[in-house]
Amino acid sequence: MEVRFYVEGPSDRKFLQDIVKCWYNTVLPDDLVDVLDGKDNLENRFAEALDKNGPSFIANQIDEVKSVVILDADHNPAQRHQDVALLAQTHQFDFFLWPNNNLSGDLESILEQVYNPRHQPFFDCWQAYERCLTGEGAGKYYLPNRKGKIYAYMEALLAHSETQRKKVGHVRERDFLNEEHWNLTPTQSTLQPLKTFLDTYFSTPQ
Amino acid sequence: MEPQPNVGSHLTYFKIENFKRFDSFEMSNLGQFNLIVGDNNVGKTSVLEALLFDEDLDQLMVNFLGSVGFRKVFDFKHGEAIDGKTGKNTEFWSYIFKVLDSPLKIQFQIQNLFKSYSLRLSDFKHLDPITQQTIRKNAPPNYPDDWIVIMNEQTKNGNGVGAYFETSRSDIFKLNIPFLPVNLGFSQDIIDNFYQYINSDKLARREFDENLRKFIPNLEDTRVHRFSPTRETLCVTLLDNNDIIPINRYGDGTVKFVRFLIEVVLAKGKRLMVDEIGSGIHFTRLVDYWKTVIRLCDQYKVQLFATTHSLECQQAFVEALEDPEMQHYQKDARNISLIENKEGEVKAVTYNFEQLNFSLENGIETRGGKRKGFQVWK
Repeated sequence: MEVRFYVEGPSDRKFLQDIVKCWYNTVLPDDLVDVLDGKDNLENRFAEALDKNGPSFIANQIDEVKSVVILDADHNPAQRHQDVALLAQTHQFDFFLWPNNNLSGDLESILEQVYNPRHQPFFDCWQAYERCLTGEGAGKYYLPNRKGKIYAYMEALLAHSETQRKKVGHVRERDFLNEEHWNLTPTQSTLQPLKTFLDTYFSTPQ
Repeated sequence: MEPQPNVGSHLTYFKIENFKRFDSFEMSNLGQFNLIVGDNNVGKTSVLEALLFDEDLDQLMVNFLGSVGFRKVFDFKHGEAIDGKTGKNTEFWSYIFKVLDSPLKIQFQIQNLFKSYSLRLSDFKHLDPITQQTIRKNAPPNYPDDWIVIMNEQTKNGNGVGAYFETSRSDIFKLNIPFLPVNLGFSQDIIDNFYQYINSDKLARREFDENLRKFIPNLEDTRVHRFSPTRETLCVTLLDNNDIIPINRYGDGTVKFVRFLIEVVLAKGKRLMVDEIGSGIHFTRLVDYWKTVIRLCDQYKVQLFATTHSLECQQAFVEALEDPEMQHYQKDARNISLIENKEGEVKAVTYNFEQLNFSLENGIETRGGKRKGFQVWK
């Protein structure tokens, strides 16, 4: 069987590629992971984005290529699951909702859980910082700022070096395989559902 | 209620069975401006030829004869009458039917109206009695061996004519074939049609020249010129000199465009098929070329089916429709990709404008060929 993946944005693609490399020692090329819309955050546009890719899903069916879609669960996972399941029937694709096919959230919901525990102090401090801002002026600041947290984490780790600093703002340059920064152990509860989902495509049959 | 556009006999769905390479082929969600793309030998031209189906049996006969003739399977001159013996020697029905003794079936939809026909090559004694009776009423008594019979599958009304024009009037060969084959070049029919449909109408002539200026910017006017008592050709005069220049001295692209300017007038309210629409057109002119093609098809209410294998032509189609003055045509534009599956069946995937634009912007392959996927266990 052949598969093509569809993700929301470039950051999702890079994470998927790294995790497939880490877990299955398999390189998933860019051209087999389509970005659904070219822009991140499809929260209110995911149905439209899937429709734009409708012909691509049909072409996959004709060529017997399985379409696999990964979207954010966002704020109402049950509703999102129901909506996407309906579209999955129309367009004939399998799907997984970040972070774990069950809870609300997105890719960052995973990333804020899978950092190397050595850097726990960073996340403790960030939590204190956000708590402080919440106390100072409710509604004044966008909180919790999870994308900002991941960005700050990357910057804190990489900004010492001129060449590494450039990678911070470029999601395609993120290296989730760097064990100093990330812990992709598949048995941890955050990643277990994703591992089970991807095993159906990448695990060698026993 | 919003006023409905006058789309005449425009198809929204089309299916054909037992035609040329196709056991069965269907296209849905058709628009007014349809660009058909696909890999080599997938059957793009055959799809255009299938669309030459016509409910009028005379027109259908001439269209299908022409579709085989344009491929130079036999010596074919459009407009020239042929007798039964010559017709039979062409064996053109064997190129139309995939299986000669099975019916060719066509189903199509025009807005909400669904129609279903079959076409069968048969000898007289094997025709059903009602069709035999209809034929006896309409045809002369010298019955040929082979008949071509069209049957409306909904009403079960049938009609037949001699399969090789034995019972046809000679003037049916003058019927226009709404098909522009690739590289047809210049021939007498351009002059005949120019005389008949353009030259006699001052407004049409002015419009013709206006459009042709996109290819010949310093054009003054177009006229038929007699170089000698036996040689007459379509020519242009230019603003900056006194010469009369035959149109075929310009390239294939210009001649093709001249053919299109005439054919679109002839196809008014119907459909027009153009093979390899961008061939011979320099890439710098493609966007303007598409704008003219689309505007004229709109003006004459023509449903366009055009093929290309070129990404440049496909991109120019989108670019033309993105022009602020052209955006209202986007809703009527479609890209139809032909894909051959593992079983050798050809499937059509229809993209609306937004889907096509998105796919081209994101480098998603839309021109057929095998979809790439990641080989996984399972």
